[in-house]
Amino acid sequence: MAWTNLVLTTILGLLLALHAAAAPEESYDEKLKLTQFKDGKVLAEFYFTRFISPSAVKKAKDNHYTLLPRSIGEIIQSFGVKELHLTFTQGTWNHEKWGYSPLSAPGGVQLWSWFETANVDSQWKGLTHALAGLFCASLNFIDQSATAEPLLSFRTNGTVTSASELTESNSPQLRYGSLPREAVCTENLTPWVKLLPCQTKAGIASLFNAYRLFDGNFHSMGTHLRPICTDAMCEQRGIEFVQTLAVVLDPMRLDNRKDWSLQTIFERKLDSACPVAENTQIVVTVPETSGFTFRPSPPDVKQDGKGHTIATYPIHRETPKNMDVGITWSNPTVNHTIDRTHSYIRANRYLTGYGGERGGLSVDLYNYRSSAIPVTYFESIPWILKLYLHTLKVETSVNKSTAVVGDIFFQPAIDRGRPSVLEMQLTLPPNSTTTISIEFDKAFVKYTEHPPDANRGFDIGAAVISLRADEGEQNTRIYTETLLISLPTPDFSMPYNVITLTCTLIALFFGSMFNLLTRRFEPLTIKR
Amino acid sequence: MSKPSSTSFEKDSPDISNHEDEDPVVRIPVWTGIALRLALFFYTDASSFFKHRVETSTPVTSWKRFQEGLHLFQHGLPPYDGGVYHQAPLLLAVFNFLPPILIPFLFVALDYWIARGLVEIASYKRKTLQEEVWPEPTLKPTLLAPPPLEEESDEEETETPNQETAGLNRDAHTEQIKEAPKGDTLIPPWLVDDPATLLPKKRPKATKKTPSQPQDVTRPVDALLQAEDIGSIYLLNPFSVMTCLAQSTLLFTILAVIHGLRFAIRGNRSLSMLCIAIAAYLSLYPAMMIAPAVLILARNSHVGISKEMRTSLPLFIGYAVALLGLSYLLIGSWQFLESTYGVILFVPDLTPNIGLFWYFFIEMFDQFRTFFLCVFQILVFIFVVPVSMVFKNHPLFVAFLLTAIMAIFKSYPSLGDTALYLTFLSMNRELFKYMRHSFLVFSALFFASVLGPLFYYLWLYAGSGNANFFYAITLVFALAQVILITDTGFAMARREWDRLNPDLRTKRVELIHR
Amino acid sequence: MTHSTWSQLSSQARGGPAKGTEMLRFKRSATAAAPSPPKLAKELRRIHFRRVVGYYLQKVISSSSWIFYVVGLLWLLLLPRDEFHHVAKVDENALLPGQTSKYFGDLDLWVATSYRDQIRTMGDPSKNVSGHAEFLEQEFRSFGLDASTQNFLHARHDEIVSGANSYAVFRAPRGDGTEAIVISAPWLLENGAVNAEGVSYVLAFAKFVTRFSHWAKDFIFLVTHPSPIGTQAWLEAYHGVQSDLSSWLQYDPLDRHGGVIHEAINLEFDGNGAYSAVGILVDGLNGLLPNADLVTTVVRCAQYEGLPVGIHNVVSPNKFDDNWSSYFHKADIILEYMKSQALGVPTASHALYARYHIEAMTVRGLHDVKGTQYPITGHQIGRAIESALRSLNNLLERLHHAYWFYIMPTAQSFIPLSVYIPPVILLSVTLVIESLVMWWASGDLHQSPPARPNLIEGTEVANHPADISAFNIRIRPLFLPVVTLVLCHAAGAIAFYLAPTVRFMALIGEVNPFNMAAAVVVVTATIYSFMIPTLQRMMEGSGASTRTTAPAWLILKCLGCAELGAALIALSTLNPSLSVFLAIPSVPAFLLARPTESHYRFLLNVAAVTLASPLGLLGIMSLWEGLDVAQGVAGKVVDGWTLYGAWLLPFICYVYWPMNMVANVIIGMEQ
Repeated sequence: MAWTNLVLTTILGLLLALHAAAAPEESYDEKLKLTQFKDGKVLAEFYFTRFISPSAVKKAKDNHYTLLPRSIGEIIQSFGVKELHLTFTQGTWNHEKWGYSPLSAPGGVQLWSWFETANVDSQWKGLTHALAGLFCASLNFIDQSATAEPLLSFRTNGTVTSASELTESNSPQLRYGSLPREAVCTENLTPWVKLLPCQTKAGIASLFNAYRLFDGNFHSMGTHLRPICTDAMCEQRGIEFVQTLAVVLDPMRLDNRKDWSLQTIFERKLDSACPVAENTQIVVTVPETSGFTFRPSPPDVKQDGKGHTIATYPIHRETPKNMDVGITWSNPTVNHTIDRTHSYIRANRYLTGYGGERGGLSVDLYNYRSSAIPVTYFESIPWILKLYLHTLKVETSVNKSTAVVGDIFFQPAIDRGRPSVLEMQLTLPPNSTTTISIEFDKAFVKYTEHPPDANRGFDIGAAVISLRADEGEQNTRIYTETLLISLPTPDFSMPYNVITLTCTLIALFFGSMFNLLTRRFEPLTIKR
Repeated sequence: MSKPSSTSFEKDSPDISNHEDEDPVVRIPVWTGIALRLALFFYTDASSFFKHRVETSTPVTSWKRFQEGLHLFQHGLPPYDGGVYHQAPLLLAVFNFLPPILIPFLFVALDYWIARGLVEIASYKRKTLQEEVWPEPTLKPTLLAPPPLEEESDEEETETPNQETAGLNRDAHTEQIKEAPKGDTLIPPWLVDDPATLLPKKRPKATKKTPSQPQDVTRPVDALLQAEDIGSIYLLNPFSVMTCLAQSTLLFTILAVIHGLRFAIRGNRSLSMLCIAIAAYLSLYPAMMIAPAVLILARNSHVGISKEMRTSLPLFIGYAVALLGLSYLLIGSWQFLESTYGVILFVPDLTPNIGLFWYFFIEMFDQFRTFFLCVFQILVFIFVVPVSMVFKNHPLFVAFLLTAIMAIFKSYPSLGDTALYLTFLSMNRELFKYMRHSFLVFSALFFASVLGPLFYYLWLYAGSGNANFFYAITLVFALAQVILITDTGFAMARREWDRLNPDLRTKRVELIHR
Repeated sequence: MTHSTWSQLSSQARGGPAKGTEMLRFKRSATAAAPSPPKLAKELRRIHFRRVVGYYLQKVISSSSWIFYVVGLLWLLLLPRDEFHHVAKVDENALLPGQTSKYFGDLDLWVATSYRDQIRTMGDPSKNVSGHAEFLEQEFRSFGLDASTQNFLHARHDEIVSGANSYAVFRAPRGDGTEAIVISAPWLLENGAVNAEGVSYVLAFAKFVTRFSHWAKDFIFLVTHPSPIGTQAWLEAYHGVQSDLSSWLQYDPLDRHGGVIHEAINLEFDGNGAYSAVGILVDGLNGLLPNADLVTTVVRCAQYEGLPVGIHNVVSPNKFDDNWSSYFHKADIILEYMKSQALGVPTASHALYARYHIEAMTVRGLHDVKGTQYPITGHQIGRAIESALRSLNNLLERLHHAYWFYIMPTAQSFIPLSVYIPPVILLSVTLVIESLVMWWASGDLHQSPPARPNLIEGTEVANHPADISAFNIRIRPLFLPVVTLVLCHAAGAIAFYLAPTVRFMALIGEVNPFNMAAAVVVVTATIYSFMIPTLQRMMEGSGASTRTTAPAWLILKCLGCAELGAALIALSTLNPSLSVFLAIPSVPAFLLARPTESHYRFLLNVAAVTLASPLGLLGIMSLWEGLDVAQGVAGKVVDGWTLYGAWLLPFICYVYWPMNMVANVIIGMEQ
């Protein structure tokens, strides 16, 4: 024990020297946001933020950085990626009860990235394969037939382009792909953790307990990469590399109490900060103003306007070991009421129709606000569904007269070639329900194109509803449910029988036809 | 060139028309068919039902897909840049300005025109039947050996109207009819209550040539077909009713095919080739129908088949190229080629239908895919030349065979094709007597068309059956049709033999087919 | 017959001299060849043999088509024997019924019982639909589920009933919410009792499932009232069927959806915990059955908890004292099973799921069943349901391994398709054979064995006997039969469109069944006593048989047999029980039907056909089980179509009754 501490301190010392040297070049922050919702669930958001200054980018020889992992640097350099967002998610984010978080993501894997290069498609292919290897995920299945190019929904978070670059030939291009049925588990977590400076040895990452992380109601690991302008004219651009992990845990389910602490929800305590992190802090948010006590009592507590209490614990290297942040409640009752001021918009996507031949896709968009909300609806549907654009209907519950639909962008699918992409600008009337519905035919695919569990079916990735935000803040996105389409299955044991039977029929036809055309009737003569 | 034949047509077209006028009863089924279609269109939702049935609307003829293509076209999106619309570009131009309320009427009108064309073709068939020559049994001792071929061939030529003998024959025939006594004692008693013998002009000719002729029970007595019946048969055929209700664009193809033959009968070469070209342009396979059209044209304008071919084939090609050029002007790219004919030939869309392709290529191993595609597609076209060589004296029978082969072996068949060749079959009514498996065939077709939708339901909706159920039914359907084709072919061959070998026929010689 | 006469005629007409000349010619030509003993060459023998075989084959088939019918009947009578039963096994390996450790404990049982008492006090929901729905929605909310209520209006014959479905969606914590299992319970049972424990179990499980994270599928908890109409409204709304204002059922769209529903279990437990067994109901709308794996899984899970499981309220003992008692016991169950399947109208809420390809069944508590020793506890029931849910939760797929066609003589065994379908087909295949026979009879059915072909004197060619023609000479009249068929079907269509109106009038008591019966009889009578003469006149008597045209009734019977046979065979793949129950009376009626001179034969035919008519079947039923039962069945059939889209009424009106009228017509036609 003692010698490990010794080793640790020496390592820390080394790292500190390094860090001090690199301070202006590359910086690293850690932040843990713990939020308890009204229904007692606790959302833990981990942010690991690295900033690489332009000078460091220039200085880096064959992608050797101080804090940025080499693999990431290679991705940036070799694939011409300007901005990259990759999330591994399991479970569905309950927008109604948990509000809107930038870390909410659709189930499975979602990848979208801005390129600033020629021949984007080949670069995109390379990128997916590289990430597949990096994160032990089947990202390489995002091929051309699963790649979309949204026009409106995915704006750049960072400042990708200056005005001058837009005029250039290789203006940045966007690619979007998702794998709804990718099962996210520890084999994805481990390589993701390896990218952290002090992996799970120190800092808030030491709270990672796979047993609890993967027992939550929602779990999402994000890897985000974006350029940041350092000067007004945006001539100099640094790189911001953020790793996020969001997990929703349920103290009620774990030990049937509303009180929680790091110990109870992670079965871990915080030992120390990560030495290379410039500042580390834990922020606890409670949707109440009274009736609870923070343990330990935080250095500063403040109320925001919306009835939340926010406590901040800065973590320094001299913070006590085994730090355990938590909350005890005076009244242990939880209430499941939905606060419409925070979750003022809701989407409910579902399949209509039945049978293996055709069906429909419907989305109900509820606007609970007394003001109209402009949103952008984006949907990328694989080619196995043949959408009929002329059946696209948009209906609202209130005053039909108002023009709900703005622009519509539709790209029909090509069999085995590309998905069909539907993107619409909508203005949801106040206190209304807007229903988008479109019909489709199910494709009958070859028996080799079915997944191994053919009788489960194909997953249709979540639709994205982005609220067009005011200037400055990035626009919030709402992800609908993923859907399951069960395509009609052939009998997988039949190929030989089918070939045999059909060819028999063909042969019969050909043979009798041949007889008919070549032979002729003659009297039967009997030679004696 | 085609003058005399056209005049001859005008000679007998009026008698058809006033034949209609003299008894309006024959028009009743026609109007029943029309009224049935309109009633089903406007008083039931049968139309929306059949629009979704795989039996009636295939990926290349479905009305819903056409609507999608039209929608894209009208909104300035390229209709062929997607996996949905596979139909011919010029159809878009047709429907672009048509008000939707008129569309059902248009499809009913299409069926009506098809029926009219069929009636005209049938009257031609009736004429050829009347001109058919059954040589007398000359009791020469030719029994010892089968009749030498040249004899048989010149028998045929006497029967083809381009020899003056045929002309004489026809005159002889007419004057016989004129001077045929009413209560002819020579009519055998078993013919008395035969409707065929009630009208004197329908009595088998040359009854009074030799006394032994009427007792010739080895020779079939055919009731001449009423041309109007063929139109009624088409209009009342449930398959064609379904196709019309489904608003399948296949109807345009059928119309073009029928009128190709119709104009050929009128001897109008260029119009006929134009119609065939349109049919081929709409759905590729009907290019085969050049063969019967050319045969008919050759018959009418007494020239050799090869000569006729040399004049009409360039016409066909020219028209086809012109149509493709128009389409290019309409769409602005050649993308439509591989999105229409490419789809017909390479079958990327494996939606089930009553044909043989879909399940075969769902289950096919990828490495053999192209090979079997070539085999299947060649099989459709391979029989054009031999069939039209063997049956060159019976162009309408050639038309029947080719349409039937198309209906069975094309990549996206539907019940409309079946309705078309069944109508052609009903024109060759004189063959039914010679057919051996007609009951088997038609009950198999009936069972298949009852069980097909049911098994489809069990597979896709109830989920209690699997794809093999429906596949088995399509197999039975195709098998029954194959048997029908060959059976009809043999019936034709047998009848021809009976007709051309009177001596052996009257001796009831045992035949073998070798 | 006809052929022989012609050959005579022609030979006479051919006359001596002509033949003589021929003979001379042949003589001259044949002088070269030496006279040879008349032995038949090999080829000729083969041809002759083929003809003779064909002839006798025709004879045998035409005389013995009824044998198939008899064999089918005997085979059906054998079905209750144990040798034909297979022990039900689970084919889907992922289900592992009963292998999981169960957590449904005393606390959950206490929750259930307290809810039961609360529901008891609330009483009949029909008084206060919205209040009950509100209560349920609140409870579901308090567990943290997404709960909602669907209101709907049901226009019954005389009043408009308003109903409400309360449902809640539990999102599986680890799942992606693409698949769902429905656990449903109606407020009121068919017999009017309040389904207190069923609803309380639903509530208890809604609370129970939130405690665990091992669920992979969503759960949808559904309480319907009134049922099964409520289930119909909910399912249609869930699958996006728009409710139109004109229809008999109007409902709100759902504002919550789970994933694709794969399985559904409907709970019906009236009473207060005192059950002696649980019973299962499997047959759905139109006799569609759920996948056997679902049934087997639920039965296995119940048996692991020591629950006796019965089917159709009968629990089969493990051993019988002798074979005959077992035979009759199982015969009873099979008969009940086939009766309810043949009717095809929903027996409980689970029946309506079949239309949407959802495997569903009902589990209901049975009171005082004989053959069971001790009462079962709610503990066992809860654990059985939990274990079944756990098994279904294991499989992230549709149930597709096992079969959908089976007959259950007991809850633990089944009769597979391969065993019970042959007799069903045999019964109806008789008609197909008969139609073939009729076709032959209308064509050239040879009266005598064909003569042997013989060599023409002095030549090398043979000629075949006179009565074998290259073509068939008799003309088959088609017009009259086709017109008859069309008219009969038209009559059936009219009956079909009238049926709901008649039902409505009967419900409000303006028509009593006897008048209806009389009306139907009159209609049929007019159709076959009035239609035929007109048709015959229309046909100028061509309906009769002549020497060159077959009689029209042969063709009509041929077509009729073909159509009815095809219909019954097609039906046997969808609802074998119905096919059996319709084939048994109608096949002999059709076999007998023919125009005849003798009055006894005529009366016999008419009696058979009348008994086979839908009305006759109802009459038999009323003699068997009482008039009210027959009336109830008739009403159920009509309602089954108008409310749930059961196909029995259309089938009867469009196919079965018209064919029955065709049989009538055949009897009345001229020979």
